[in-house]
Amino acid sequence: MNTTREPEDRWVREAAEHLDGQAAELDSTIMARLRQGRKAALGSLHNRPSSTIPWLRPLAAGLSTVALLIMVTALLMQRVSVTETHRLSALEDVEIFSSGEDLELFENLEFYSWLSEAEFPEKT
Amino acid sequence: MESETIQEPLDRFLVSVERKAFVMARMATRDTDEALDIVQDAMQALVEKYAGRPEAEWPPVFYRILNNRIRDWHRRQKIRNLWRGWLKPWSESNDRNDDPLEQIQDPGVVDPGEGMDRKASMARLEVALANLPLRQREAFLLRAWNGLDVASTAVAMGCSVGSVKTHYSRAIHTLRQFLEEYRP
Repeated sequence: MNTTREPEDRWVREAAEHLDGQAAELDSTIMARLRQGRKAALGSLHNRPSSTIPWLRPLAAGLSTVALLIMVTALLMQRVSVTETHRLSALEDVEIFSSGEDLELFENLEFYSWLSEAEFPEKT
Repeated sequence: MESETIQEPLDRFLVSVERKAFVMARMATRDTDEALDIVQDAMQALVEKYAGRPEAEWPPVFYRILNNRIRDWHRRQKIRNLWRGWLKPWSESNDRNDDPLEQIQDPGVVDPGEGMDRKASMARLEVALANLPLRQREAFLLRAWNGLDVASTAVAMGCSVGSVKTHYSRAIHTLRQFLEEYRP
């Protein structure tokens, strides 16, 4: 097994050595530009965002989503309660009109209410 | 504080890979300036995004960035060539000789005998490598030259271990065939 692989390994090794030679023989202009690029890259090391930010970002996004949801829910609840109140008063009106009672009684409700609350001296 | 502690090992790592990265990029682009831009871009991306990762992860991550940049470059070239093809149907491409053998540099009469044969065959290998499909070349250069193991090569290539094995074995087969075909 190993003997059959040996020639292949040899030329692969030779190829790697040849490529090593190429990499070692780069001219000074290319090396200078590579050095310059490396320095520029390392220079950005100090400007890169803090390592706390990567996990803070999703947290902030999550919190803002929750806040938004709460706001939307509150608005919806408020809307529901307002419409509920309207619906209830409308139902009361329907009840009054459909009850067949004397409408005059309802028209003078304020008067009857005042009458019941007012204090009159009892007749002896 | 953190930046200062990783600057030195990061610099050491970049020094250790910059030459090979450049040779790989130049082989893929056949253009020195483009290759230098790609390598600088890869170094920048590694420092900005992955400097905080453990040192052991830097090699596969760096080569992955490099390969992605090379692939992006090829995509852009493809689109550019497509436009050129549409705009200029009668290009001078017919005049250009695309035979890879024609691109082999004359090895010169430096070493007689076996030395010259070896040099010529390495020059052929270089041409064959440059003409390999992108993924096969990546697999060969990462495994055979950069010495990455299969798992790290898979990370660097962004594919499965099985795919790495397939690409590498195809690369070996193609290169061997090419070298045997043109053996003097």
